[in-house]
Amino acid sequence: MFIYLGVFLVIHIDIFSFLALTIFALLIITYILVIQVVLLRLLHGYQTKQEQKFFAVWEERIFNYLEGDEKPQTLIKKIRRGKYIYLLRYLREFFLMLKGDDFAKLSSLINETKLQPFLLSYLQSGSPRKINEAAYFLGLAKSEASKRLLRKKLRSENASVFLSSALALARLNDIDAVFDIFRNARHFKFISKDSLLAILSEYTDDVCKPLFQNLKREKNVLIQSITITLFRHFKFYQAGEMVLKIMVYSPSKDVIIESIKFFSTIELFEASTALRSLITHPKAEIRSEVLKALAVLGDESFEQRIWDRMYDSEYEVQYNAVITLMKIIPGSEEKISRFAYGNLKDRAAAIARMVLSERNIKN
Amino acid sequence: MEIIKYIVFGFNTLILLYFLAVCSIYITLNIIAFFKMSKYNRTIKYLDLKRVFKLTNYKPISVIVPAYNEENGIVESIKSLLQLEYPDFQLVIVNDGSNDNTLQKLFENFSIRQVSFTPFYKLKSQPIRSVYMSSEYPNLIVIDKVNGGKADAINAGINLAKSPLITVIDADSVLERDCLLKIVRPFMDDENVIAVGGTIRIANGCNILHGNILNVGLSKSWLARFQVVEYLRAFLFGRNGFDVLNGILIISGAFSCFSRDALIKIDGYRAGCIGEDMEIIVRMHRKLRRENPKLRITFIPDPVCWTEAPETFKVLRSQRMRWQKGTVDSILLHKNLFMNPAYGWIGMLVFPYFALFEMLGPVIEIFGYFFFIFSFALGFVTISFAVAFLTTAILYGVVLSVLSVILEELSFQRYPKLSQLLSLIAAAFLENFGYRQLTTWWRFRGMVEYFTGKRHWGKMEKKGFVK
Repeated sequence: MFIYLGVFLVIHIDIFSFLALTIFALLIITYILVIQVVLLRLLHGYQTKQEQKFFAVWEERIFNYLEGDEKPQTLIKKIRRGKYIYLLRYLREFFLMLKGDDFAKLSSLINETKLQPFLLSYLQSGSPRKINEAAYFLGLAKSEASKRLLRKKLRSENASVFLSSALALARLNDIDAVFDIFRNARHFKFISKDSLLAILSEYTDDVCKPLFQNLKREKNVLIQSITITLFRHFKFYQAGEMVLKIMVYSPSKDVIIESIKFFSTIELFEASTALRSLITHPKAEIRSEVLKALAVLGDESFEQRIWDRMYDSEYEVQYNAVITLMKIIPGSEEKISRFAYGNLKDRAAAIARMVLSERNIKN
Repeated sequence: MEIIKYIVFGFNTLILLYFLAVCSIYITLNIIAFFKMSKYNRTIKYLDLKRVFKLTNYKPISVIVPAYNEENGIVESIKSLLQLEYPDFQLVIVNDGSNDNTLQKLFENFSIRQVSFTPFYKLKSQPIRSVYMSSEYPNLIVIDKVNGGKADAINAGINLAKSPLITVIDADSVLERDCLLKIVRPFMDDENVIAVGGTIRIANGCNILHGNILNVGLSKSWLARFQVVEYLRAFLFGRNGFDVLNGILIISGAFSCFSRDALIKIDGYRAGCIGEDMEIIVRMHRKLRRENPKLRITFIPDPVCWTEAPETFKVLRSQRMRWQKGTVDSILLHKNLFMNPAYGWIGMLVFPYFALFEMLGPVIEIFGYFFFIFSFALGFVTISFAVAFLTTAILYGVVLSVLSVILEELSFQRYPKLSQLLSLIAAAFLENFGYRQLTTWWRFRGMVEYFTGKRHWGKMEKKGFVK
């Protein structure tokens, strides 16, 4: 009908009148939209009030439930299915805050009641929004029953579905899924190392053992780097020796830096020998990281090499060299002070003066 | 006579097509932005941003705040900034040779003491007189330098910044407390991101206490309300739309975040530049994305930074003239991007759009209006053409403005009261009858001043919203 009307107008009126009419029509449509938006706002206001009323009632119920002996099924029976999502949104902050027995009781509100089949049905739906919402809450509640479905969702081509399922599985501590996460992440060109780390660090330290086994044969530098970062996150001491071997032969800057950070975190003194050659590495970030690690590992035999780094071409390296010297060499502060104020035109001395004065203020 | 009629008709038709194109492009951008924002809102909803505190891989940020004669608001601003939620950030205040008591206020309130300093990098800036560190807040440093303008002050800040990410904000901006958590996400999600812009919103009418937004409100001034609509249309939806094409050409200087390495690589901000916030982004496209097209300059649609809008015609005129000079300056400095296929979408679409509609727009519109009135008075145009012209120039603008408010309502709903929504709709309607034409006139004047050599910043008076 609209096409017919358009053709009719083009034939019977000139192009400018047609243009004006079109814009008038758009204006009318816009104002219909305005009315719709205003109505939506009124509806939203009503829903917000309902939600607030709901929260007021449920706040007391949840606290009584956490403190008392009420069964989760009895509590959930008091709510209509249509309001499940309100309840879940309300419980979100509790899930993020509570630990121990309280957390277990809260989880049973999902895992032992009709909320679980409700969320599982969301997880099986075709809507990414619903899947993400379900994965989030099932992961928070550590719902074992959702593992199989969540693993299936890892194969989704939708990035948000993949990420939310991976996060849920990590929260569920599903160790077997970790390699599926690595494998499937490769299908998305924009999922970064940092995004994956943010997800994988939700696992408990149990994840380190299979990753340790995998690292022995893993050739992909990205996975090596993520694995070593996770070892650092969980302070997985057992991996020290193997990471040291990997670092020595690795051409990857990322792997080397993550390894040095790891040695520093677990205070692996055996790494000092390997760091000896890296202190003059062509890449400044690596030299800088070595100095930071030495400040923790505290090998005094490095004193001259660290002094040499004070004349490095990169400021960051020079800065870290001064800090490291002051941390690991007893009495070095006096020596550095003499150097700093005895060579006023020297750049290295200027950096030393900066570190000394910052240190004075901090102390 | 017939020939003149045809020429007049042809010219008027071109102007009409121009108006049609500019509004249609904006409507398209708004719709693209709406879908992008809906997706973003879904993604961010269950991200649990504060998890970053548990992580080992967060990126430290240096927040640089250039300050020139900010004695009235600087203390509140810094106190508010020190409360930002982020595991590791350094606050670098650059006193750009203020001739009021800005530095004195910092001494009195933050226990700052002079430290010896050596710049880490060598970006050009006016000499630094002293650097101070706070004994009370170890992450606060103050740089006192000779006045050199905003770009120069930022360069001085970058030279002493220790973190791999640099956020630049205006001293009088109000930031939402989780803004750093949000702005850092694109850098974590994609290693190719080198710059991120945040949405700027207008704080006039909001309830602000100690540098924090307590309630979002609307100013009683219609001038400020018009600007709210304008910000929604051009800044929030327009820029988000361009982002889909990786075509962001400007990130507001009031709130932006960069990779430090990228800033160093392009030698920092260009001192003395009028529109430094646009110029630096264009230069990033030109120098860095040419080398590596995978690099991204992106925009997050979250409302993160609130700023004060001018409420007097005098200040607004000065602001708009300065913005226009900045746009012209940046476009002319990098004119070789124009229709240059080596720069992809930027060269072939976004830069020509800016050159035609943002730089030359005011000239075309002002001449268009005058020419139309003149030819209508002389009887050179038909009634149907006149109706079409006015409908396109004004009513199509109404459609666009109202649509922006509708999209805001459907995506963020930042204005909580129904009365505020209705006021915004009214402002969206009314701004097309006088306000838009007035700002076009000021932009035109800005352009004239630029080409006649008056390229100074102009004075920007602010009322301040410290409570």
